[in-house]
Amino acid sequence: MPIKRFILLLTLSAALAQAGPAKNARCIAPAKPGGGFDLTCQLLRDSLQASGVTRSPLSITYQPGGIGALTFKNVVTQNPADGTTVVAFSSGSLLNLAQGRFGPYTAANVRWLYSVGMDYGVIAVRQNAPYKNLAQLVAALNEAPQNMIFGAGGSIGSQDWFKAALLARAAGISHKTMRFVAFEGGGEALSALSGGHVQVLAGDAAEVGQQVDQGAKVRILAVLADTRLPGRWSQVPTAKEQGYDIRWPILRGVYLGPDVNEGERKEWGEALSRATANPKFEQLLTRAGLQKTALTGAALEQLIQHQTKEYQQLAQDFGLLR
Amino acid sequence: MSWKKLEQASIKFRLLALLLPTMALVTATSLWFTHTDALNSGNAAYDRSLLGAIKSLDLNTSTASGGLSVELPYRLFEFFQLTATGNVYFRVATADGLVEIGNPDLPQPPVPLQTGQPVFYDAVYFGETVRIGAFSRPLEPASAKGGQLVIQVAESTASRERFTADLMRRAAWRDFWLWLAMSLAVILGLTLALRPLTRLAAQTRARQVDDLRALPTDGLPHDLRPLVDAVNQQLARTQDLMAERRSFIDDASHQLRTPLSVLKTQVDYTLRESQPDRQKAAIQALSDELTHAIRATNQLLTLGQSDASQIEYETVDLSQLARAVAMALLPLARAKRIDLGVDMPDTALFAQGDRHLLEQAWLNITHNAIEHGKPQGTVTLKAGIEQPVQWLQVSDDGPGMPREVINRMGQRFVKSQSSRGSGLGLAIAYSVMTRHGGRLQSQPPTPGHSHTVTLEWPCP
Repeated sequence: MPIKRFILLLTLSAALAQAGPAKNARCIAPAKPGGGFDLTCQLLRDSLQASGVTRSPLSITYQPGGIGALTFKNVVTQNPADGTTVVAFSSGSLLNLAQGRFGPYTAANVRWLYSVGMDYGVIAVRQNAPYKNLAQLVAALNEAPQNMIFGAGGSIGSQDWFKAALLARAAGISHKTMRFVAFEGGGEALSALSGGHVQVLAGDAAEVGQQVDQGAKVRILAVLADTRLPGRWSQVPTAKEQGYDIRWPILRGVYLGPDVNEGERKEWGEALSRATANPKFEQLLTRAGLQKTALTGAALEQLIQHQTKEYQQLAQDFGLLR
Repeated sequence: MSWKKLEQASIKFRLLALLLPTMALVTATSLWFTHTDALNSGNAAYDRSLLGAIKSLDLNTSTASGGLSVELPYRLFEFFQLTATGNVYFRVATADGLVEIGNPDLPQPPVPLQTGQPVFYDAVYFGETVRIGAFSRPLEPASAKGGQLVIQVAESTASRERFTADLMRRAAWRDFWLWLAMSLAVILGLTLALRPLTRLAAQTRARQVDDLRALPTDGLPHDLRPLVDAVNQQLARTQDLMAERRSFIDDASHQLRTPLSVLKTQVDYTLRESQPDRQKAAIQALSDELTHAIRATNQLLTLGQSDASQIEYETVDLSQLARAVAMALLPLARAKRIDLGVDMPDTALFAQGDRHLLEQAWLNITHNAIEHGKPQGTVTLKAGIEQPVQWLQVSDDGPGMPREVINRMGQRFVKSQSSRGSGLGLAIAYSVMTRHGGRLQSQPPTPGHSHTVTLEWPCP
């Protein structure tokens, strides 16, 4: 009986979805291959394939350029009604939007379709570092900010920088005196942390988790989430638990052009809901080191509005707005 | 006189038509140079700040951890924000591009980078025009091994464009006002400078028709003087001429009235006289008087011609002319028992001149010689050509011309007290010579030499 229904649904959706996710659909990763956007697109492709929504796998297009600004502008101005294309985004995109780095566009210019997974910021130190918890680190930071160098994969105004700045603020020092060293990526920063070239790492749970699996000798002091994360992270306390209200959730998802019609949007939504409902999806998500969230529609829009507002406030606080 | 106004307006118009576009052109050229300068100085200033950013990034770049890292102090970021109103990008990378931090794929410099030599260039980065400064150095300065490190800092050209545009707008306004002020000054200056001309024109226009006084030259610009002087000279000549004409007409009418009243008296006498032989004598006297009047009239006519008409140069045989003059005066000479002779060869002697006028002139001085020479004396005609002059001469054995006649040579109706003539003969000869560009000379008698009057004029 359930199999029958499944087949019925499959034929139904295939019949309906002439321009939707089933046919000629593609996912744009607005970056070079191998980054977080690529990960989002791969996750989509694999889950859609695994749940049988698509017969041929979703194609992935890479559009590097201006931290995703170019793709965003393209979708808004060139192909606002293209229902076959979804674009990967993350909270980083929202952060850039909030800082006005996407030009005159705002979060209201596109349709936020689906959030595929959630990542969270983490604060890590060297495994043999003297700091056992966040409080000790904050105290040390407060005492000698010159000796405490943050390493990260982004530059000023990036998510990693904000995490570090928030921690500095919690330690009562100015983000202006905070020392911040940018590396090519999180991996580089982690090895610099291991080598003692930097003292603190502001990173993402997914990436740090992967590095730890590969043998990186680091101690994770806090996860910047509301509540403790499940699985391997269940042993790591949140910053909030330790008395510092620093949260850094990282949304990963896809958006659509602003003028994509209601039917196509619904179709995408249903297809993605089905794909993420598939048990295979959990596996994929865990492999990617992401936490589950299945937000779409109004709930997603609301979250995005909330995050954007928060980011704007932060950017203003830290003097990043022009 | 309206042409004068037209001419004046035209000078002004021509000057303005020449000056205003020229000034506009000069202003535009200056604006263009300003633009280039503004661009250059803007670029220079902004490039310096780019270089500053590059240098501080350079200082903050390290390879100590094994990978490439850049410390990003907030101050540096603030510095970026202060100097640029547009977006600022940076990229620290290895020359092979395998490792890069910051904004990926900033456009490469158009020329290969030399170590330690910053290069600045314009490029487009994701649809935005940016100015990029690029700088390269060995990854590890101590040991020359390893690759090159490339540091690039880019800023959107918005701020420098605004700077240049601002500068240009100000310069354009300034130049426009300058041009306007210059134009006004030129128009005003021209009007002021041409005012003497306008004034002169107005004064001249307001004159009476017969006002031949010189135009006032007071307060006239230096360069107008030659023109006004020339006009004044012409006016003076016209005035002289008119005065001469007027006095001539006065004198001539007086001169004609005298013989006419004499004639009237003689005719009245003749009418009253009944005796035939007396009547005959009176008619004879009447005839003489008429001859005299006719001669005087002819002479006036000749003088008028000599003064007014154009000289017509022709070839004149002076020998033949001498004989004609002698023949014409032979009766008079005979009546006075004077030996009138021509002292010339029979061959022709060709000179250039107005035949009629020359004959009249020669006739007149010969007539004078006969009238005023020694009674029963000798009068001799002579002529010659001695390059560059040609001459006619009369000599007599009389006492010569009185001093007052010589002093007033050329004036009409000047004659000695003893003369019965019209006083025009010498004036005519004088006038003819003047018209020929020559002169009349009177040589007083000296022992061994007789009194001579010579007409001498240059060969043309």
